[in-house]
This record gives sequence, C-alpha cells and structure tokens, in this order.
Amino acid sequence: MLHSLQLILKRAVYHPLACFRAAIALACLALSTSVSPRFLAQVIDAVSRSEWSSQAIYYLFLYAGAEIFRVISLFVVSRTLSGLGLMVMERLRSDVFSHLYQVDLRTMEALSPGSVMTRAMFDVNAMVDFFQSGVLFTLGNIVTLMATWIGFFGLAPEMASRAFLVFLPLCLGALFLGHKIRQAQDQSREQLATANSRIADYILGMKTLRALAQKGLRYHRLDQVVTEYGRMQFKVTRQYALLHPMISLGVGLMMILWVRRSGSLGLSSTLSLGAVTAGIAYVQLMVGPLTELADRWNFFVNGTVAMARVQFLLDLPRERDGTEEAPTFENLALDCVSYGYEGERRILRNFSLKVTKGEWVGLHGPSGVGKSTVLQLISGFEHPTTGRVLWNGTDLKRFKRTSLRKQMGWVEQFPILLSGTIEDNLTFYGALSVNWKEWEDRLSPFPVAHGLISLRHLRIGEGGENISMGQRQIVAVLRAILSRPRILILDEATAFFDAAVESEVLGIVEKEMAGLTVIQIAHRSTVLSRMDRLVQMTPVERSERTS
Amino acid sequence: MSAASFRIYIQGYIRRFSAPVLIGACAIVVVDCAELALPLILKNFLDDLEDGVQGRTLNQILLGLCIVVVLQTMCRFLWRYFMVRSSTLEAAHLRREFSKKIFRKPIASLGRSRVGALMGLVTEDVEAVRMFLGPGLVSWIDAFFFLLTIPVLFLWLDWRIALTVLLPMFSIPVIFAKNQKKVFSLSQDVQKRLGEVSEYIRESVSTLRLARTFVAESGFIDRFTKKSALLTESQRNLARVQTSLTPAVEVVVVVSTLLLVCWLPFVGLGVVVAFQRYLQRLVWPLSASVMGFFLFQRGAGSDERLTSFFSSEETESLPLKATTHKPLSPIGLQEPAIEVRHLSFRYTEQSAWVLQDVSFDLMNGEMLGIRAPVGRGKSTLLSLILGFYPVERGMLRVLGKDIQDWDLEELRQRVSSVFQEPYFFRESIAHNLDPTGQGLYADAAEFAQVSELVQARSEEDLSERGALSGGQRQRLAIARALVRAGEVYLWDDPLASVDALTAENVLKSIRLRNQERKVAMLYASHLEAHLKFCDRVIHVA
Repeated sequence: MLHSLQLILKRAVYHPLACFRAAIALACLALSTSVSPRFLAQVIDAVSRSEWSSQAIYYLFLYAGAEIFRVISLFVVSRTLSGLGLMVMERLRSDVFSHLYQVDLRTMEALSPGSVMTRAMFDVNAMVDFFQSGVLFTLGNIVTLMATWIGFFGLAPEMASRAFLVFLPLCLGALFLGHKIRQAQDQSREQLATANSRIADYILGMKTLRALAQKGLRYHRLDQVVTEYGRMQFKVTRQYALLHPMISLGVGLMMILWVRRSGSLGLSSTLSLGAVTAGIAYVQLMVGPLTELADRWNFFVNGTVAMARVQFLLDLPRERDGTEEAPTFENLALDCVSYGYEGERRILRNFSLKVTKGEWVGLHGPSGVGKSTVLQLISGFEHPTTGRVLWNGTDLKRFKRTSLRKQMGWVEQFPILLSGTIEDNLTFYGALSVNWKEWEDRLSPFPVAHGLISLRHLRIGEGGENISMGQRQIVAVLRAILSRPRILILDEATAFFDAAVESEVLGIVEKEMAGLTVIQIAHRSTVLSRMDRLVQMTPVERSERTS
Repeated sequence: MSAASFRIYIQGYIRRFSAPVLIGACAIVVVDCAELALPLILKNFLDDLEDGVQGRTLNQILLGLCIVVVLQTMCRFLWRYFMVRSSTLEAAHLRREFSKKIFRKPIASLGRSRVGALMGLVTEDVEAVRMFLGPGLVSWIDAFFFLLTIPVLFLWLDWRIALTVLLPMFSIPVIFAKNQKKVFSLSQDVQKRLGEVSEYIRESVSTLRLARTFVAESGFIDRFTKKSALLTESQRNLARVQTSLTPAVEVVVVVSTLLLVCWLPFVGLGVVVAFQRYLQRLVWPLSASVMGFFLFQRGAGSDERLTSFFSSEETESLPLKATTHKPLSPIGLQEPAIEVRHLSFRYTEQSAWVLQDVSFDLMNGEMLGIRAPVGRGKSTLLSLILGFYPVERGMLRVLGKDIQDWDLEELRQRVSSVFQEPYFFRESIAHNLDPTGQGLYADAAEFAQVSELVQARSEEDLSERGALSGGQRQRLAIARALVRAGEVYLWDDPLASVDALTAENVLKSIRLRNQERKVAMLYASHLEAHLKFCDRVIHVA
C-alpha cells in the first residue's frame, strides 16, 4: 500500500501549484478549526463576566471571522483537492492510454480488453474520490486526532496514558482490519475485472454462442463469476461493518475509564470540575475523526488498490525498439531464422528468404506452417529466436519500428474495421490526408473499390454488419494502398473474394504497386501466378526449400 | 421525471428487503438515541461530582455508560450489516438480471460498439444504485432522525432561541431544490461521457495491432485526449456543484451559531452551551443529507438507464438450466429440410434490400451450394435461418416448421453452423470446442483435420489473436460445429483460408458423411473449387 501511495503522491507532485494551494488551505482549515472554539469560549467567558462588554464584542467578531475563514478554507480545500484529483486522473488516463500503444503486442493481446478497460477507466476514476474524499478526511482527521491527544496529555498525563492503553490496541485492531479490508477489496476488484472481461467476451461472441445453442451454459458460467463478485463485495462490507463497532467500543471504554477514575478520586485541587469536563470533551472529540476516518478510509484504500492495478498496465514491458531511422527500402532478408512460441514449438527453423525492391513474392504452404510468422518478423512485431532479419543489409532491430512500418502496407486475413465512416477507416480518422477526387479517378476502372470511395461517408453499422466480409476486405486493401507503402504485405487478402472481385483487387495492386514490392500469402493459383517468385513453405519436421 | 420512478423503485426495494431494512433502520435509531443520551448521562455525572456524591450513584452512571456503549457497539454492527447487506444483494440481483438480459436481446443491439456502454451499465450504474440503497439510505435515515429530534430538543430547551436558530435552516431545502436539476443533468452528462470513453478504450485495445501496423498511434491518442478532456470537464462541472454544497450548509450553521451567541446576555450559559453542542451535532446529519442527495441523483440517473435497458426489446428466451442439452430425438425425414419462398430482407427500413425474392428447397442428404457476389446476402441468409433477425417478407421453413414457430434454442441445437469469421471465447481450445468440459471433441477434430493442433495445445488459452492462423481458426470452428451432431448444417465459407488440399479433403469427407446420415447442408462460398463438391449450386442476390 505504501508503494501505491508513493506512486499517487508522485503523480500529485506533477501539479505543484494545486498541491501547494491544497496544503495551505488544509493548514488554514486546521488552524481555524482549532482556534474558533477558543474564541467562542472567550465570548462566553466575557459575557458571563460582564454582559456585552467591548471585549465580548471583540471576541465575537474574532469568532465570526474564524468561522467564516474556516468555511472558506473548507471550500478551497475540497475544490482544490477535487481539482487535483481530476488532474491526476486525466493525466494518468492519458499516460495509460498512450502506454498501451508502446507495450509489446504479444503481452497486450494476452490481456482481455474488458480487463484493460476496467483498469484504465474504473480504476483510474477512483483517483477522484481518493483526493476529494480520501485525502481530505484522512489527513484532516489524523491531524485532529494528534492534536486531541496532545491536549489530553497536557491536561492529565496519567489519565491520558491510561486511555492511550485502550487507544493503542484499538488502533492496531483497526489497522489489522484495514489490512484485511484492503485484501478483500483487492480480490473483489480482481473479480470485477474477471466478470467484466467475461461479459465483454460473451457480448462480442453472442452470435456464436447463440448459434451453438450455448445460451444456458454460458449464462450459468457468467452467473458464477457475477455471483462470486457479489460475494466478495459482501465480504468487504462485512469487514467494514466490524470497524465502526470497534471504534464505538474503544472510545466507550476510554470514556468509562475516565468517568470511573475521576468519579472515585473525587474533586480535589489537582482534579477540578473543568479538568474532568475537558477530559470528557477530549474523549468525545475523538469519536468524530475516528468515525470519519473509518468512513472515508474506504476511498483511501480504494484509491491505493486502484493505483496498484493501474500501475500494472503502466509496468507492462514496452515493445523492443531501435534508435535509428530506417533508410528507404532496398532489400530485405531473413537470414537462417528460427522461431518458436515460448520456445516449446518450433514454427520456423533455419529459414532464409531475400526480397529486393520491385520484386513480387508469394508465400504458400499448408496452414500453420509459419507463413504469417514470416510477415510478423518482417514488420518487427515478432523477433526471431535465432538468426537475423536484415533491412538493406542491416539488422532490423536497430531501426525504429515506426520508421519501418511507415514503409509497409498491410492487408490482414480478417480485417478489423474501426467504428465510424468508411472514410474514417481509410484515413484513420483523418490522420492521412487523401485527395479523393484524384483517387476516384485512379480507381474508376475498379467498380467495387470506386463504389466504396463514393460511399465513403457511409457509417459502418454495428460491428460492420451492414458491410459484407468482401467489402471489408476491399476497405482493408484500399487503406493499405492509400498510405503509399513501399512494400505491400497481403496475408490471404483475397481469400474471401470471388474471381471477378479478386482480379479487380489484384488489378488495383498491380496498378498502384507497379515497380514496388509485394509480399503475399495465398493458396490459389490465380493469385500466385501473378507473383515473380514463389516460396513453398513446409512444416519444420521436413526441411524448407525455396523454389 | 426519473427521480419519481427511482422513488418507486426504492419503495419496491424496501418492500422486498423489508425485514433487514427495518432491523437496520431500528439499529440506526437506537445508535442515535444512545448518542443523544450520552450528554445527559455525562451531565448527571458532572452534577453529582460537583455535589460530592459518590458510591452507588457512580455505579449507576457507569452502568448507564456501559449500556450506551454496548448498545452502540451492537447496533452499529447491526445496521451496517443489514442495510449494506441488502444493498449488496440488490446489486447482485441487478447484475444477474443484466446477465440474463444480454442473452435475450436481439443480436443487432449487441454489436461491438455497444460493449462499452453495456459494461458501464453493469459496472458504474449498478454501483450507483447500490451506493444509494446502502450508504445513501443510511445517511437519510440518520439525517431524518436528527433533523426530527434536535429541533424538538431545541423547542424544549427554549422556544425563542429555537426559532432564531432554526430560521436560517429553512434555506437548506431551497439550496437543495435549486441544485437538484443541475446535479441530475450534470451526473447524466458524466455517465454518458464515461460510457463513451470506456467504449473508446475497449475499441482501441482491440485495434492496437492495426493502429501500430499503420503507424496511426498518434491519431488514436489525440482522439482519446480530446474525449478524455471532455469527460474531465464534465466531471469538473459536477465537482464544482458538489464542493460548494457542503460549505453552503456550513455557512447556514455558522449563521445559526452567531445568532445563538447573540442570545447570550439574555439566557443562561448552560442553555447556550447545550444549544451549541446540538447545533454542532446537526452538521453531520446535514452534510450526510447532502451526500445522500448526491447519491440519490446519481442513482436516479443510473436507474433510468437500467430501467430502459431492462425494458428494452427481447427476441429470445433464456433456458435457465445450465445442463447441456439432452440429445433431441431427430424430427425425422421432413422434406424439404429447409424451404424458402420469396424471401426478402433488409436490416433497417432505410437500408437497401440485402436479399430479394429468394426461393429454394434443401432436401435431406443434399449439399446445396450458395454462390453470392461480394457484398450480397449469403451471410444474411444463414443468419435468418438461425433466427437472428425476424423474417418480414416471404416464408422460411426449417425442418417442417415455420421459423417463427421454432423455439430458437432447440432450432439451433438441430442446426449446426460455421461462420466465415469465427469467434472464439477467451478460454482454452478444449473448452471452446466442448464447453461442458467433457472433452468429447476428438472425432470432430479428426474430421476437421485439426487434431494435431488440438492435441498439442488443448489447454492453451485462445486469448491471443495472433496465436492461430486464419486457416487453423477456420478448421477449429468446423470441429466445434461438428461436436454436436445437427440435422442441418449451415456453413458460411468456412474453408476460405485453408489450403486447397486440406479443404478438398474436408469437403470430400463431409459430403460422404452427410449422404450417409441424410444430413442437409447449405454451403455458402465464392470459391468455384469448393462449390464443385455441392450437388447443386444456386445464386443469391
């Protein structure tokens, strides 16, 4: 917990002005809260001595001033802290989000989007409550408690130390319970993430699970995690329910001790009526802060738990990246490359391939033989276990990934479309500026592609439902072409096209990639026949050969 | 007005959990009474101490104190336990209802882009409702008790001072009423933006590879920064109102205290001190009611969204039994297995027709090929046969029964389907193939020529999109469909990414098998090489 607290504080320090303002306002609040009862006492004393004297009026004004000052400080403190919380939250959210784009993809894809979303949204949001409710009340009440004890010890050291003997186990008990609560909270958050990721999984796969007649089974499975989350949430509240009675009991015991002791001693020169009253007041003064601490501790704990969970995202390893800008593509080589998932299964062994500028290379072979892996190696998403990937003769590792990928265009096997219009998909929400007039002319011999360009303002419906798989694939081809790549990589890009459209797409590729490089995975001879060179890949048990 | 419907919902909740809520409320009242009794006991003690009386009286006072402490300790536990427990149970109930509902809603309303909003509903909105039913309701009961008893105590102590002190208090309901609408619309705004940002995160996470491939990271991050700033702005607007209300209430208490001090010369010191103590006591219930007020407004907004979700259209039923299906007795040779007459379909009234006047028969034991150009409705046709969309024009009969008369779960048990782009759940390959965990998939895997993969990696989680190639995914989807023996097979281009040799082998053996078992099969594809295995090929356009 200390570690998460440290992390949050580090983030708060990014905003020194707000921190400074909050600290000053907090000090003002503490000061005015502690002096204003004294001024009131002075007013009462003055009035009881001699009606409304000028002294009484003076103290009355002081009291009013202190109260107004207190309310203003309270206002400034809560506003500054909530502002600080919002700033910390927004920055954290942005940091998390941009970090996601630098994390190693393999690590990233092993996490469920639902769980990442829970962390990046709901856990980040807990920062606001942490500052707005947690910090204010925790800090404020700890300060008040300390002041109360100092006052108590000053009043009657012997009695105070007796009371402290009750207070100490109370604190230890509360800390122990607090620790338990934190653990339970942690588990319940984790369970929430599990439940959320399953919900997201089932919503996304709803069509499949219905088609497979698995509704009952899947509902039951979802219900299990949801129920488990409810159980854990209940565990947290049950432990919370123990915290308050503990405080009541502790403070009550202190009160009984004080009353018994002062009652049996009786009034004397050392124990005045005022002192007994003050003692009672001190014990009672502890009730408020302790209760509030117990109440708001929740937000505090929640914040630290959430921070630890957010930090998990921020600690995900970054993608390996080079430092140099990649030169313009001339040639590419896989030099005796081996590759295997986690070292258990070899997909490639001593595989070599060379592609030079202007060449069209086709990869083919049975599925699962590692064709896609070759493409992943070329684009730097995966790294060879042994061997090297060379770009213009230099190890690919040395170049910045973005400078490599800018020279490549990709068409995936199952293209993912973004929510938005066709244009959004083609230009990545306007990141790419495209002269549509020019492209409409260029693509005029190709009816389907031309049609999609003229329909570019059409919003793609729910999950691309109003656009077919084939049209999706053409969108993917177009978006790869529009970025004007030096190498075009097609991973089974024509698998879903019928002959007419296939030849149209290949026509587009031929027209736009003339003189440039194309690497393509395909099965069909109609596609492979357009390639300059074919590479037949065979499973690693046998030896690879290139033709 | 949603506040009114939320009130009705709360009434229903209290009725459902009447016993625990009543026990909880009683416990709160006991705690509060003990709270009010404590100053009186201490006053007696101090009076006695001054008079020098000791012994029995002291014991009585100690006994009184003990009772107060024990009552407070017990009842503090009781109210928390019962009130919060009920709210947690209610939240669990809402989440369960949510889970049921997503299985019943029409498939069109569960698209990718809705996931974020739905997640917000089940996480944030349910939590908002729970927060009101638990802490919110408690703070109201608490506030209600003190707001009711303290003024009475005031009047009992001195009615003149009471009136002076209570006068400023009347401004509090005015402050609340003035801010009610504002708080409501601001919290609605925050919730809406929360939903948008979560959806954006979810979508971005699942398109990370795409963004990186095209070096479009900065575009995605810029868009996020804008959305995030909008969210923060709306949260800030809400926080502004929130952080002003508590100080506003404090101002009222300060004014009251100052008015009280003015009475000092005219009444006794004891009375003023007592008034002052009780005024201080009022601060907590007042700020508690502010908190309750915010929780109520947030809860009302969330309740509105939840209610509209729960009352939204349902097109499917949910079998509540988790057990796997008993093998259905075959319907027998109904001829034809699928009968389609003049079927036309479009997704919305505005959109173009996807299917127009399609008619055909599919006989048992027949393998019927469907050839359709890109962008035409072969996938739609299969979706209609599975009952994902209502048939508006024309007639569609499956296994001798009109599609509208089928219990969809039973229909889908009899129909075995493979989609063009298969979805796999985030669980092991074994569980994807056979979710019952019995592992009865060896034959199916063998048939789909994927047994090597399944044997080697059956426990591997299918969480990585890149872990399997397209061809492997497709063959896995075929194996999954074959685990259950259906009477009709609907295959939507399931071998497009599979290499020619394997595809041919699979097609040959499925054809043989279906002829033996008299299974009807619709095979949609654009590949002539695959369609040539069909008995007959029709065009759909």
